Amino acid sequence: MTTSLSVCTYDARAAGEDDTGYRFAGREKTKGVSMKQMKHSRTFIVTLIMAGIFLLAACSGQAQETAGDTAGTDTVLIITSNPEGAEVFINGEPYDGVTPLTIRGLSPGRYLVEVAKARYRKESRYVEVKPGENMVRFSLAETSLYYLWKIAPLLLLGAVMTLFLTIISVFNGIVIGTFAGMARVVPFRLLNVIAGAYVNFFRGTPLLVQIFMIHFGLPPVLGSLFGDGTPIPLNPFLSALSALSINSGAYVAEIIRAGIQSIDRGQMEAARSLGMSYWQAMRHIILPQAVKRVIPPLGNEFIAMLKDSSLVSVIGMEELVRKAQVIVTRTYRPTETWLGVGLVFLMMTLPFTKIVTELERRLKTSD
Amino acid sequence: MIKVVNLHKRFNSLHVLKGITTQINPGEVVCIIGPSGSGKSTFLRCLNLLEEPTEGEIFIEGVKITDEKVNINEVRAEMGMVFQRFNLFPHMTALQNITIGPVQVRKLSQEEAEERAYALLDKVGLREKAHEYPDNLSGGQQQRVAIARALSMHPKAMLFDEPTSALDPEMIKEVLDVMKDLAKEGMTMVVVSHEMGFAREVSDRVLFMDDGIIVEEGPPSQIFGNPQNERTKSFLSKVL
Repeated sequence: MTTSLSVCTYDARAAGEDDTGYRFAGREKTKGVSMKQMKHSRTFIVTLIMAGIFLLAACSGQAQETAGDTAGTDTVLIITSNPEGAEVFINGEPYDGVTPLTIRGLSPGRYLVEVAKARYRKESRYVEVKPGENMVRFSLAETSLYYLWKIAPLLLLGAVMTLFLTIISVFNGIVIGTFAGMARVVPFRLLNVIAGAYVNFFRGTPLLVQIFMIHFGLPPVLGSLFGDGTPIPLNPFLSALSALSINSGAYVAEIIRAGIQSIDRGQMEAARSLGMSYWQAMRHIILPQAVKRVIPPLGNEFIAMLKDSSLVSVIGMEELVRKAQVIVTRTYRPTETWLGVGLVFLMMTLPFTKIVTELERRLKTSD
Repeated sequence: MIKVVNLHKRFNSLHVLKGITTQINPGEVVCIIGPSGSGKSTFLRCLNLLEEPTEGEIFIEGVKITDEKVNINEVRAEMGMVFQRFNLFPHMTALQNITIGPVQVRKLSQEEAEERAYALLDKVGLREKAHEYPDNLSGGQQQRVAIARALSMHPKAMLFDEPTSALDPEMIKEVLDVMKDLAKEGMTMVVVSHEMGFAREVSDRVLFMDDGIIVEEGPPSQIFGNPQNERTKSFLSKVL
């Protein structure tokens, strides 16, 4: 083995990473080529010997093809990697220098080339080194942890959108749900029926279908009602927000209804027997008590909506899940990406779960 | 003052009140006794329309309250009601429980309502509990606050629906004492009760109800001393 091997120090690797190191390596490469041509024209004997070696190699079945006009020259092995600046190991031994690296003078043969760089996965490949120029390219994959670190800002950006969508939707849901929930319990038959139909429809159909109904189903209707008949496309953000709000409203309505009905009938009777009207009793006696019981389930609704809001990714809302889909199509790394998405969701839901549990505990003691 | 004519109440197929006719005079204390399920409470609740009568008429000071045109809230404001389970508003202090009616219904100022509330708390002996929440009061104290709350509206009559049934024995007396004071002041009272002692001692008239009708009525001396009806006799022999 004619390879000159030396222990690679950290400083050498670092030098290869900077710009100067790269250009130096490039120059050396061109110089190597001209030297090779010189030798080609000058020394016939060397060529003969090389040809002999090649022949031998061919007979032993190691080399698949002869390297044409470069046959009989010195070997040049060019190792590049993306990203650059990786340490190189030849047959397990560290080689002085970092990628892009040109190694000359290797005896032809089969080598195990390994490249390693901090925060990237080690790559290795068997390379058949023949006389002349040999090129080997490595594409280094980030380690899982480093990959997650790199995509974290994108995921967090998506999480901000998810959180934003959820907060607005649940807020709207509370407004809608308070009216719908009260409409279910007030002594007006028509209101009961309308609110009941609303709640049953939006709790009884999948949120995904509701999103499609609004985003794809509504534009033609809007077109024929307010336009010239051609569909009026909806902004995905608007569709997502309305679908989530209306859906949340139905669930909140049930929470409010249950909250109101959980208050002892005697409370309403006592208030009415003082001469209060139904609305006065509702406002001063029933609702203040119901609000306390409604807060923990509303917290749960928020957590549920946080998770369900991922469905709006199907209409192209760039929230957490959609962001992850885009990342995966670019990086082909679904495992870490989706694990990361799960972790980000957990980071959002766990604190809220804790808050809800705490609220439940506190409200129980003061009830 | 209160006149009831042929009052019927049905809950679907269940016929609870089967024609009640009676009259309660101003300042009178009437006790309604009878076995459970006889319709005593339903009758009382009909008097301020917490239950809507199926049939029959109720007049209060000549006003037919079973008429649909009558403002039910005004009628109820004139009738104080005390419940078996107190039904105090748990999110309000004792004082707030007593001021909410006058402020919301009578449109009194908060200061005026509080002044009256303190007077009522004095009357039921609970001034020092004014700022306690119902959960921190004993059953007897809660019921006394509930009586004060009902009185806060200056009602023309007071309806008591088994006011001592949910109380521990040692708390019954403090509530009955308040009710006795009230009776002495000349308040018109209708009391559904199992407290035979109270009925005998305080009431002017006792109604014995069974199976949705008034079986027998008369002064307590007659009902307890010399009951005429077989059902009255058998009921009293069990409870006395």
